[in-house]
Amino acid sequence: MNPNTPPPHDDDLPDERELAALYARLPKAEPDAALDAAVLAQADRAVPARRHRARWPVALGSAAVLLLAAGLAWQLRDSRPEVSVTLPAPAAPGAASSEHPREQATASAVLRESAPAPAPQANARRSAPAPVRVLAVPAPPAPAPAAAPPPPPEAESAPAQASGQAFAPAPKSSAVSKPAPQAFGVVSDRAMKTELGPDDRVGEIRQLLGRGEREEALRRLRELRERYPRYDLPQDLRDLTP
Amino acid sequence: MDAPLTDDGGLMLAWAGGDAAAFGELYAKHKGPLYRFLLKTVKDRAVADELFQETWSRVIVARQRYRAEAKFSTWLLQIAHNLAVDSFRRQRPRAGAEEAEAVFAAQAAPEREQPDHALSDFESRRRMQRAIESLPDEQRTAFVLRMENELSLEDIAAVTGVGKETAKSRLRYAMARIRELVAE
Repeated sequence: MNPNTPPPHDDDLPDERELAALYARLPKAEPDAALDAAVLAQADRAVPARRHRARWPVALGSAAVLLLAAGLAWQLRDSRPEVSVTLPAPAAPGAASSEHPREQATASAVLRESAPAPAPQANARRSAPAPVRVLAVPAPPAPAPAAAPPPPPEAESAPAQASGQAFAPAPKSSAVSKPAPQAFGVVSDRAMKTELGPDDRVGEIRQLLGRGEREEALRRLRELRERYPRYDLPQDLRDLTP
Repeated sequence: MDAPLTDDGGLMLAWAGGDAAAFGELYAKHKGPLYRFLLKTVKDRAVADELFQETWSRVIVARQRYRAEAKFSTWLLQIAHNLAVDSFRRQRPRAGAEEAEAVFAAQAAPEREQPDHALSDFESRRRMQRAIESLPDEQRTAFVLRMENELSLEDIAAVTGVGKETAKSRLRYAMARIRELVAE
C-alpha cells in the first residue's frame, strides 16, 4: 500500500495514513523459489499448456505437394503428342487442298486420342527417325482377330472421312479407312510411331502385307515385338513370323 | 490486490481454458500480498508456506467453478482466511512472538533507510511488528487485510464472513491498539 495515497474507499479511519505509512516500511516477505515452483508446477499439471503445433511440417508438406503437382503437369505437358501433318504431295486436287486445315485438325485430334498414356514410351518414340510415309491404304482382306477388328466395309467408301480419322482409337483402329489417294494424309513416321499403339501397328502391318510389302511388314512386326514384347499378336501375324 | 475485476477474472478464465501464462501472471500479481497476509495472520513461516500452497491448490481445483463476477482477490483471501482459521483451531498454541521476531529480523530492510535514522526506524518497525502479533486473531486479520491487501470494509467483511460494522469495529480496535503499542 502506498502511504501517500488514501485507502480506496470512503471508510477512512482516524490516523490510518500514519499507520499505513509505518506498515509500508515493514519487510515484504515473499514465498521462496521452491514454493513458487511447487505452485506453478501444480497449476501446470492441472491445466497443461496448449502446445502450439509446429507449422513447418505443414509448410514442408504443402511445398512437396506443389512440387509434385508441378512436376506431374510438366511431365504430362512433355508427353503431349507432336503431330505434324503435311499436305499430300502427289497431284492433290484443289478441293483436297482446300480441306486441308480441317483434315489437319481432325488428324491431330484423333492422334491425341489414340496416344498411349505412359510418358516413357512417348519419349522413346520421339527419338525414332522420322521418314515420311503414306498412311492410308485399303484394309487387307485378312480375317479379323478379336484384338484388331477390321474397319466396317462402308467406312472405306465414306467420302467424309479424312485421312486423320484412319487413326481410330486403339481398340478398333487396326485399319486405315481412306480409299481415295488424293485425300490421304501424310504423317511423319516420327509422329506416327509416337502415336501408334500395338493395335494400330497390327493394322499397319496388315496393310503392308496387303500391298505385298512383306519385307517392310516383317520389319514392322519385329519392331512391334521389340516395343511391345507382351502384346498378344493376332494369329495371322504369328503365322507370319519367319 | 484491488486489480480491475476484468483483469484477474479474465486471467483466471484464460488459465482455466489452457493458457498457462495467464496463471503465471495471476500468481505473480497476488503471491506477495497473499503470502504476507498468511504470514502475519498465522505468525509462523512454515505454517504460512503450507497454507499458501494449500490456498493455490484450492484455486487450482476450483478453477472451473470460478465466475468472473466474483472479485478474484476477495475470493483468494477468503480461501486463505478459511484455511488460517482452520489452522488456528488445529494448532493452538501457536508459535510465539520469538519466531515472528526472527522472521522479521531476517527480512531485508528498505533501501531508503538513512544511517542516522536506522535505529529508530528499525525500532519503529519492530514495535509495529510486535503490535500486530499481539492483536487478537480477528483484529489482526482485519488490520492486515486493510493494510496489506488494501481491502475496503465491505471486502474485509466478505472475506472474514462478518457484517461490515463488525469488520469496522475490529479494525478500529486493532488500529487503536497498534498506535498505543508503537507509541510506548
